[in-house]
Amino acid sequence: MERSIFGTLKETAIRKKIPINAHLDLSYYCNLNCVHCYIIRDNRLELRTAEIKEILIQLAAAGTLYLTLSGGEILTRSDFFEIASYARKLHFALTLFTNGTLIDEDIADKISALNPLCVHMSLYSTNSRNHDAITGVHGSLKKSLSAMRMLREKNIRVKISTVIMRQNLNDYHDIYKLTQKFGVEFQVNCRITPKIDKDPSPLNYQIDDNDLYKVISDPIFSKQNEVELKEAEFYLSNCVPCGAGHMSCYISPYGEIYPCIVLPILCGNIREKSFIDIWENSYEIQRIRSLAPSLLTTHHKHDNNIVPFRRCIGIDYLKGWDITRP
Amino acid sequence: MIKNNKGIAWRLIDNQAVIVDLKGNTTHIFNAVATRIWELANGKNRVSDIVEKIYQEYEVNQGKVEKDCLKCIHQMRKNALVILSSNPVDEG
Repeated sequence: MERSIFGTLKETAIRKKIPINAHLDLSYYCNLNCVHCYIIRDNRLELRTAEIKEILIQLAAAGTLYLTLSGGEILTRSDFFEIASYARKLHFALTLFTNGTLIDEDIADKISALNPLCVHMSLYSTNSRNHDAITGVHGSLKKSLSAMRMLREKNIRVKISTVIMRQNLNDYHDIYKLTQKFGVEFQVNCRITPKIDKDPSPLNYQIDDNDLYKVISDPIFSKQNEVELKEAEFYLSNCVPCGAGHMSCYISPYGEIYPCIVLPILCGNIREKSFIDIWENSYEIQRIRSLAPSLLTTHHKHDNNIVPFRRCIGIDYLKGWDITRP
Repeated sequence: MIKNNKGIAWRLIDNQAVIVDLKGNTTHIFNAVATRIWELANGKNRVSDIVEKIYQEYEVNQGKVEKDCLKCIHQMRKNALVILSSNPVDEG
């Protein structure tokens, strides 16, 4: 099978244990209050500007190329553009996650100047009553749509991510049409995760297996995307359960290092040890790396079809399952 | 002077320069010589400086080095990964 450049890069990263992807949550503070949010905010001091810059230097030295800045809402930090500009000076490929509600023309211009690889925004419905009921903030859909238009007018690549839940199961087709109209990429996510303290309450919004199958079989999710996904996962599927701890990591606003945002197994804190020390020597990272992919492949039966399904070790962990057992 | 384009992200990964064109959303992985050329395309070198340094470091036929370097730099320019400038880079 011919490998894509990205596939080759992933293969190298996994083989050499290079953290090419890092997801850094700048703050857990958010101006929205989404019903399914897994984040638990506490009173600990979040990373200061200088601490974040030091982390960026260490990530660059470790080989991180793709850096996702997320939260919470990134634009609630007054130093966001100082941090993001610094990251660009260190040559990171930036992906930004924002709900868009704080974006005006001035902010959109500043985002454009960063040359981000992509800006991800969440949209739950094109119906403001449904969307705003999920975000908990009246008027949030209107602001997010306005942001999407402004970013596109500046030729910024935007990807709309829709978490499909019971409340908006019938809304994603309209979102898809909207993204087509604005030349915006579209992806759905049907995985709802428990909160990071293992509180399972967000799972109440999860769609059942039948609806899940209908969604993933929907022709609007193009063949091309499917092929890209398969190719990207080709090496991964044969060698490691996923990239977590092998080529990607998550850093919380408190400086904690985890293998993945949904796998809250604490590997160390960058306020106490260097990133590379944690990445190379943490017992917990070594433990994650020892997991075999076969542990996580299950099969679902639907309409007499056997559908292979890769479980997420993070969600398994948050559900309280022993991730070291099949 | 030759320097990296602003709309580029890059990193040395396993001794190879991995270049991401942020606007075109394309990725390039350079071989050893192209990686060295990329490192030297830092706004402080002219094309002729780069050719000379590659010649000194790799100790191969000068004509071939020049031809290969120019071809590589041309390809980088064609893909908008580097730009030529009359001024040294401002490190800001």
